[in-house]
Amino acid sequence: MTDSESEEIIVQTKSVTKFFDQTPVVYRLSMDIPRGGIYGLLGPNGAGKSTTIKMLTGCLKPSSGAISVFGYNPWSERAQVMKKVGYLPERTGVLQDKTAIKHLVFLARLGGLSREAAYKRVRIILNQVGIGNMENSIISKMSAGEKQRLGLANALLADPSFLILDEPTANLDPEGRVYVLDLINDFASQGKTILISSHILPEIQRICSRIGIISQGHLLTAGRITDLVKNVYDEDYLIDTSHPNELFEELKDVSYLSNLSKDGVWIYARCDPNYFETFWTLIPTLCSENNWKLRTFKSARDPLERVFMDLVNPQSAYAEARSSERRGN
Amino acid sequence: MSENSYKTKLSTFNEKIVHYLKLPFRGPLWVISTETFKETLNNKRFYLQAFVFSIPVLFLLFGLGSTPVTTGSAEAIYRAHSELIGVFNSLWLIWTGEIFVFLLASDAISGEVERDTLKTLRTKPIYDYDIVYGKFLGFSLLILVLILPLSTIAYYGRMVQYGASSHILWSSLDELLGAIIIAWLTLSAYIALALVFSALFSKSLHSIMAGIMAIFGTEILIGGTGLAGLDEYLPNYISRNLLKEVLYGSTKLEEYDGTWWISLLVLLFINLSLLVICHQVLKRKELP
Repeated sequence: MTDSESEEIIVQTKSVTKFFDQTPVVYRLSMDIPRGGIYGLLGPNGAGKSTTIKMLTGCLKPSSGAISVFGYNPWSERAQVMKKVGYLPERTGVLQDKTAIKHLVFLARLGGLSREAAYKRVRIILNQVGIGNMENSIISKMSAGEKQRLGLANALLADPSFLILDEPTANLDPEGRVYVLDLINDFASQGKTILISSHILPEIQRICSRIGIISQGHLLTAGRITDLVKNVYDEDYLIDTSHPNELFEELKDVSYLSNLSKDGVWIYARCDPNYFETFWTLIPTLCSENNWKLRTFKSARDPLERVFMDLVNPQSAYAEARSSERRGN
Repeated sequence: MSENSYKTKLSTFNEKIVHYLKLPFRGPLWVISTETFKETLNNKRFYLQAFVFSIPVLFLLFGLGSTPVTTGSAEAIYRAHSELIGVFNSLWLIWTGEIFVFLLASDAISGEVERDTLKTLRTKPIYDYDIVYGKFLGFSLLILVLILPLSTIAYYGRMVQYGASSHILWSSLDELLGAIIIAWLTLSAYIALALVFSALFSKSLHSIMAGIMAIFGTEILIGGTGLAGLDEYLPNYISRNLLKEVLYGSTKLEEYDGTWWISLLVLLFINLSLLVICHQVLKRKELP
C-alpha cells in the first residue's frame, strides 16, 4: 500500500469552480488534504486562496463542483463541519466594544460550553496565543496584531481537529510571526490537521509538509514539498570564501558560468544547468587545493521559490530571462 | 420504492421533526438572544425609543385631567380603555413605534455583515436559524419589557385617577394582558419584517431605508385594497378594531365572539412566516 492510499483524506474538492460576476475566481479546483500535518495553500494575492477557504468553511457556495469536509458539504451542513473545524478568517470580525474575554466567552458558549467552562477555556487559550494579560482589554483599543491573535484564539476555542487559518501571520510583527508559526507547529505535533494560506513563501516552507500552489484560480501543483523540489536546482549561486578575488579570477575562465560578478566578499555566478554537478565539485576542489576557506556556497534562490515563480508567473522577467538564456545557449 | 429507502426517508423525517421540536431549547439560540438583549440595552437608540414610548404614558398620567367619574367603575374602565387604545394607536403601533422598532432591528444582521461578525458567528457550530430566532427573541423580549410596565401604568394609573374600585381593577387584568399581547405581537411582526430586510441587504443603511419604505408601502397597499378598511393602515385597524374589541370585552363578555383568538393566531402566523423567510434568506447568504 502506498502512502497516499493509507492516508485518510479529510478535505476533498472535486472540480470546484466559483464565479464572481461571471469571472472565475477559482476554476476546476481539485484538491485532497490528508489527516495530520500542515498543508500550505500558497499563491500570490488574488490567486483564489481565500475564496477556496471560504468555500471550505461554508461562507461561499461553489458555482459548480463538490466539496467534502469530514464527509459533510460545508455549504449545506456548515454547523456539522464547524463542530470539527476551527477557522481564522482573513478579516477577523470582533465585537469592538467588548473585552477580549467577554467576546471569546460569548463565542465559546455558542460552541456549547457553559458560562463557567467557557471562562476557564478562554483563559487557557488566551495564554496559549500570548495575550493572557489582555483579557480585560477593550477590543477596539487592541492593536491589529493582538486582534489577529484574538481571532486565532477563537479558532482554537473548541479544540478542533482541523484548523483552517487564512493568512494567520498578517498584521503580526516579526516576533509575533515566529510565535504564531511555532504555535501552529505545536498544534500539528499534537496530531491536528492544519490548512494555512499565505503568500509568504518562507513561512509556508518553514512549517508545511505539503503545499498546493494556486494562481488565478487554478491549482497549479500540489504535494509534499520534498517531492516538489526534488531535482529542482537554481542556476544562480552565491559564494563566500576567504580569498574572493583569487577565486573570482579562477572562475572567469570557466566556460559554463555566466553573469559572473563580485560584490564585496560575495561572488555571484550563473551556471549552465548541464554542468551543475561539475560546478558543485569545482568550488570545493578549488578552495581545498588553494587552502581557501569556503564559508558559503549556496543557490541564490530557494528551490521552492523557483518552482513557485516558474509556475505562478511563467511570463515573469525572471522566468523569461532564464528561458531565453536556455534558448540562446 | 424499496422498503429500505422508505425506512431511511421515514427516519430522516423523524429526525427532522425531533430537530424542529428541540429548536426552541437550543443553547446557541438563547445565547444569541441574551446577547442581543444586552447589546440593545447598550444602544442609545433604545433609550430614545423608551423615551418616546413613555411620553404618552407621562402625558396621560400628568397631562390630562383626572376628575373622578360620577357614573362608577364601568365609566372609569371605558375611559381608561379608550385612552390606552389612544396610546397604542397614536404612538406605539404606528409611525414612531414602527420607525423605532425598525431602527432597532433593521441592522441586526446587515450590521453583522458590515462588521464581519456574521462570519465570526458562522465559525461556530450554529445554524442560521439560531441567529434569526435568537435575535428575534432578544428584540421581542425587549419590546415586551418596554410596553408591559408602560401599558400597566397607563391603564391602572388612569383607572385609579378616575376612581375605579379595586375589584374592578383586578377583574380587568385579562383584558389588559390581551391588549398587551396583541400589541406585542404586532410590534414583533415589525421586528421580524425588519430582520427579513436586514438579511436581504448587506449594508445597514440600505436595510433600514428599505424596511421603513416597505412597511409604509405595505400598509398603504393594505389600506388601499380595503383589507383593513378603506383608507386605513394595518396598525390602525389593529388598534382601532382589534384592541377595542379586546378591551371593551369587559363590558360585554357574554357577547364576545372570540375573534381576537383568531387574530392572535393570525399574528403568530405572520411572525413565524416572516421568521421562516428571514431564515431562508440568511441561509442563502454568501459572505465574500
